[in-house]
Amino acid sequence: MVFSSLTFLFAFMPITFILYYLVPLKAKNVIIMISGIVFYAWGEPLYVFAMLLSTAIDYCAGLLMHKYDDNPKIRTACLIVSLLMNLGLLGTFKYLGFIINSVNAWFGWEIANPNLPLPIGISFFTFQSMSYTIDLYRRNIKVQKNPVSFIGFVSLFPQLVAGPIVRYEDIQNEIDNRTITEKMVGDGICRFITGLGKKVLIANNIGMLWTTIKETAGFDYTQLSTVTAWLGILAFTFQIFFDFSGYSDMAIGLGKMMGFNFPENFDYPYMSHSVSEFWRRWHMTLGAWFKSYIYIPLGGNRKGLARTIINLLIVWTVTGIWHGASWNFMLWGLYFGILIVLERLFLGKVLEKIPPFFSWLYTFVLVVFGWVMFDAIDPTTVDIGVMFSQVFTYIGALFGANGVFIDNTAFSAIMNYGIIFALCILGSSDLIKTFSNFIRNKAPQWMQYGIPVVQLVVMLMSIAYLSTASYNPFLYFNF
Amino acid sequence: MNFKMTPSKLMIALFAIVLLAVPIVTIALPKQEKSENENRTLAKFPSLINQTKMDKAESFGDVIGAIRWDYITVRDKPSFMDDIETYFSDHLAGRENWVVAKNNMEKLVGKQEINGVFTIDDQMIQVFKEYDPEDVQINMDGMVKFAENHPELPCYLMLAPTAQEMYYSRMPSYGGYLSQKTFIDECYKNAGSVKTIDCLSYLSGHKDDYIYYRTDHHWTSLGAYYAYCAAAKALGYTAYGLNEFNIESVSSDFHGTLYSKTLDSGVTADTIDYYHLKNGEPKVTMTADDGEAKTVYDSLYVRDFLKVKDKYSSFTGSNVPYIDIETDVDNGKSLLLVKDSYAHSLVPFLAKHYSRITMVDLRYTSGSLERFLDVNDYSQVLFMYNVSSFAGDTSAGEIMLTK
Repeated sequence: MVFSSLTFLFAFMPITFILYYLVPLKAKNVIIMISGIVFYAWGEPLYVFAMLLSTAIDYCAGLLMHKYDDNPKIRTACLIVSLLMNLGLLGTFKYLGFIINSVNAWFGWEIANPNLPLPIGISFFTFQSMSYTIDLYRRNIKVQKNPVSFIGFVSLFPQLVAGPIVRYEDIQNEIDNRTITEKMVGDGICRFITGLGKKVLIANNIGMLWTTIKETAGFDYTQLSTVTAWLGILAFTFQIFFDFSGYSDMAIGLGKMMGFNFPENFDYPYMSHSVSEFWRRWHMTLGAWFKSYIYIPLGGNRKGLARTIINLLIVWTVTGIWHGASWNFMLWGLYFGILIVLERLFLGKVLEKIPPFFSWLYTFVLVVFGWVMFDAIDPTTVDIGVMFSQVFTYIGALFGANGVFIDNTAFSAIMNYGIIFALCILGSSDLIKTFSNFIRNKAPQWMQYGIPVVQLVVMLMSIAYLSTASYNPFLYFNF
Repeated sequence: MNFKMTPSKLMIALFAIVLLAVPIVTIALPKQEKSENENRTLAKFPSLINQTKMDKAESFGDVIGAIRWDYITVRDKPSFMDDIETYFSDHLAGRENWVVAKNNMEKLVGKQEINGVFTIDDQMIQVFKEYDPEDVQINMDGMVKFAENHPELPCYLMLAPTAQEMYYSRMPSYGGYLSQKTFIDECYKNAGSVKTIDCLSYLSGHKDDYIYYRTDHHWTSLGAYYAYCAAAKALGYTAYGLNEFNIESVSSDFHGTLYSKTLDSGVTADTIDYYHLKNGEPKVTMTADDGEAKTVYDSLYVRDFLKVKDKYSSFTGSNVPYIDIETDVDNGKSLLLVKDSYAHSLVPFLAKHYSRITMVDLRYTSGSLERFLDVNDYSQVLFMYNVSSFAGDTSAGEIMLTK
């Protein structure tokens, strides 16, 4: 199930929250567990069992580690089983087809591709679940003996399928003992509606422009005018930010409504002044996960410059491939790895000295080029040459290589999407946050009642967009 | 009681009201089967149970077996869960109000088209921006081949422009809107032995008149009249003058298909006019054959449709595969009219010049036409389509299936 659907808003959410608030604290985790399984099964009726299997094994691994606390061999074995199982699930469902296709293409083999579907959110719940066994192994956290609480942690529906990646450590206290205050629920609702609006009103809307431009081109970008190329990739730049951070906002909001404080996931990343800073502000929980479970175990920056560089490149390649099983994502990750290495070597010092506008521009443009690799490439290609040619054609188009500066497509995009672009720019900056903080803290008391009213309007506007997706008039009666 | 309203409480209250009121009202309201504006049946509540199996079920195992598990787990087709969402969306309380609200927001942020409709002044325009040249080729080839196979039978083609062509110069040049004149000229160049009829210049000459409905994608009776003038000249008879007609306005609150797409009530509702000869209309017998049953009328106007939304269908009834019209015009001439719905308001004019007209809508026929008619019975064949529907599907090419 997705948050931005009528089924979620008008059936799942009222029922779940009414039950959740009615039952006593001890039974709330039962509601969390059941609602999470229903939520997941609604979208993945078959692979819900993959999720439950992963959860069950990690739960048992945790119990065994606790029981044989003084036997390092058993503890290590438990951890290895947990890791193999989670990475095995991820590898089978997410990467197997990709590996088979690549190997077939390179060596001319004909291994049959099982074409397994990708279970929703598998990249998220395996990571969340692994964080438990790893941290338990490291003795950072206490064991969770209550199966309901543990299944509740993994299947906690707000964070189940698209982040933020909530580690067990983040909510280990709240899972068994939390208080739900009126302010938390009110703030949570505000946050949820903000996210809904970002997703439904902004991301879906601006995304249509990118879809149109991409579909018209069909991965052949030799006809794009300079302005069209910029508007297209900027549309995607905003689409992915508002889509993803909107989803995180909804998750954090729903978490608050249930009494949980999830970690933040986005901190106005497009205002960053270096690529390293961008990655500290974009999908923050993923960065933190890789840092604590891959980068630091590899030695981080403690083993000399050469190892640091290698470690950084490894982490960023893995980050890239985590986003999807295709070569362009690996390229995208490696690209950021190289930029971050360069910033660590010398570029970072330069960026600190030049005027802030230029360091911002440098960062933003490089991030936008990154999105070209991320989404303008045919993801099914296993031919690295084709992939690079698509990247360079698109980036060439951004620099006017196609010889046409502006065309009708660009004019049409400006006229039809100009205002939405303006809203995107506003929403990517922290102006709205500054303004609402002013209302909350400095403005007269009565103005604070304006925030819920504005949120109500955003909510109604979002429903108008969501509910009319099926409004589809036919000129002639369809049989 | 010591109740103090806080911003948080207000937020919770507003949120809860929306979240509860919408589903409750949705459930409470009677469900509609059909959406008149959308011209389609709305989704039914999906069922997970195979009723025939369930009726026969004798054991618990049979009951389990009667559940449509594949409907739950299917991935490449809409599953039970997808259909639930569609059902919700189709029956949501205040559905059309949400659509109006959304369309107004779209306009507010500068979207120039709503659902493929461009509104300029007081006129809605169904936009014509792209088509598949291969489809057009199939249609043209079909007609040309038909004409070659019937050298003794004069064949004509009349492509009607849509309202966009009248406003073409005023629509944004960057919008990707296509010139229908260019489109028609291209088609006519490839028409082979099919004689072409230029109704565009007749209509363009009256572009400031009320020749297209404001809220519908069809032409008005007046628009059809000018096309009739063009057709009459090519088909070899003299068109009646406008002053020879009495105009009967049968409806002044017609909201057409383009209104349905936008639900924009800012555009003035349309008037439907019937044109009757002052000297008396020919007597007609019209037989509509929807493939299953035949209905016989003694008029070209089916006035029952004036009471419902789809008022344009009062011209010779809604689209069916065959309509056979016999008149008391005693000249022995007969016309096979292969057409789309634009022909419906044209036929009352043409009917004054033929003993018999058979209208065929190839979009709704299947297989050979011979089962229903013999093309050798006719003295003329007229292909009549508007640009948008001609470019939009390949049914006209199916005429080739005729021997």
